Amino acid sequence: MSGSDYDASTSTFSNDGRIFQVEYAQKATNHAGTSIGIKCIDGVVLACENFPKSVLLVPHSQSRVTPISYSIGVVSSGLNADGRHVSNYARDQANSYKKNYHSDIPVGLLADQLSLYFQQYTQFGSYRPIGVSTIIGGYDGKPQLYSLDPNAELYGYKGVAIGKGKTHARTALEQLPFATITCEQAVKEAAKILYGLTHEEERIWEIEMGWITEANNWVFETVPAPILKAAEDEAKKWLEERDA
Amino acid sequence: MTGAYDHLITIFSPEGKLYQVEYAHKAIRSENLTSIAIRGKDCVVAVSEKKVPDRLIEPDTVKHIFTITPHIACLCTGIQGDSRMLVYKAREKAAKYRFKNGVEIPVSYLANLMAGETQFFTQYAYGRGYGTCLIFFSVDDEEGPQVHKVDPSGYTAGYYAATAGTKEVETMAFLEKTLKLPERGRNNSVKDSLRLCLQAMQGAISRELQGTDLEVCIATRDDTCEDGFGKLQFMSAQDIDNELTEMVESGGLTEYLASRQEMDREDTN
Repeated sequence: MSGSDYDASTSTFSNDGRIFQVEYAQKATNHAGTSIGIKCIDGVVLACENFPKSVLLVPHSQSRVTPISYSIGVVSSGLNADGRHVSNYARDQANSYKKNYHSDIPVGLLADQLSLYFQQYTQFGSYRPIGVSTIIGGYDGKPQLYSLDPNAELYGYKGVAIGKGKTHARTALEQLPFATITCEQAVKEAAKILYGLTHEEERIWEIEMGWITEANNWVFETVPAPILKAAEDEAKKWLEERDA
Repeated sequence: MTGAYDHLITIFSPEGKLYQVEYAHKAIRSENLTSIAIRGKDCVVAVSEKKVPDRLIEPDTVKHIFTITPHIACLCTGIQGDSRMLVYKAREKAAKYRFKNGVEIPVSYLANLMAGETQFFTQYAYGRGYGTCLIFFSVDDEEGPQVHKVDPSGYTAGYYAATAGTKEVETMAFLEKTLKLPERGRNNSVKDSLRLCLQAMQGAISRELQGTDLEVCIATRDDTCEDGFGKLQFMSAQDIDNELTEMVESGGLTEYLASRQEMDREDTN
């Protein structure tokens, strides 16, 4: 659906009050690899599927799950360069807070600051909207999970998915027992959800996961390779049984 | 050749209109929500419709009423991103005023400053206006209960009752009829004002509302506060539910319907 006359600039409202540039930016995020966030009782798990462009790329060198501070991580789906831009800004904000207040930035505050940053790009004609959706997960006394879209809408979530497989992933996420799920279980569930998405044959793809949990002292880190591998193996088995 | 661009940027059309500003007003209805704020004797009651877009969303993070200072709150209707930005700016202005002048900013002055913010983009083409309507409310130490509405055109005024959003016109018509001269509701208690808000909201909206569908904030005069300002309280979903039930059982909706019929009769005459 084309906006015709009103879609050339971020600083233009359409005649029924929409901003088409922002709506088009949302579509850009729908072509990218899926990312998921799950809020557990003992932490937060972020996961995503990456599509390396060629077999010549070093495996797992494309990384979208990014630590922002010791206690917060983000994963963005959309234009990867915009994703890195957002992560860098988030790191600047976290560092600035630490310098001023000698304490880790609360997750909700970082999410709020990012939403204001996204909003700026939806208002001025000299910019285009930021072309990623971002999931922010962290711990500041309790586990928290937020998601931001190019239209700068920010909500807190129990579970969220963005990117091309988000509809399917959200349906699967709704079934999870958020009141009792632990990070260990969530890692396995996330792997299943990502494996359950449709993948073109012969296309190389990899899973990446990061978590912050009581067991690793509330530090946002990549999920250790053995745990990730075990989760992927279980997911592969589950997929075979499902498709049998 | 203004004709080509007057719909795209904030320049005047040949008839003297600013189309982009009119379109910004339409954006206020983009979330399909309605909000109402009503002044009473020593209180202001503000109610916003609340729709949680997704089952996975934490309902507490869906907010439309934001505190600006411990005494002033802002009811936002429209594009969520723009609301957050304006709330940020309002908080900044209020904090600067407090720092420079040693006293809390009066809500009428804050509304004026924020109207200046929204007016800016009705005159400069490089940015679009804000697609949000702000209703600032507070119990002021000198002026008492205050409701000030700021819209995307930079217009601001003080109101006895203000509404915004999809059902702005219907709810406003009902309140204009009910808040009669000479008091215009200035002697209403918290209970009366709250009942009126819920009446207008439920009357205008076709689906049955529950406590979880609304956000309510009440500003009341606080006797414990030495400087005479009011305090802000958010109602829990359970309490809202109880008030809604009470309003309906005491014939609130029948009154609303009667009022609407009278208005329709007056219109046709």
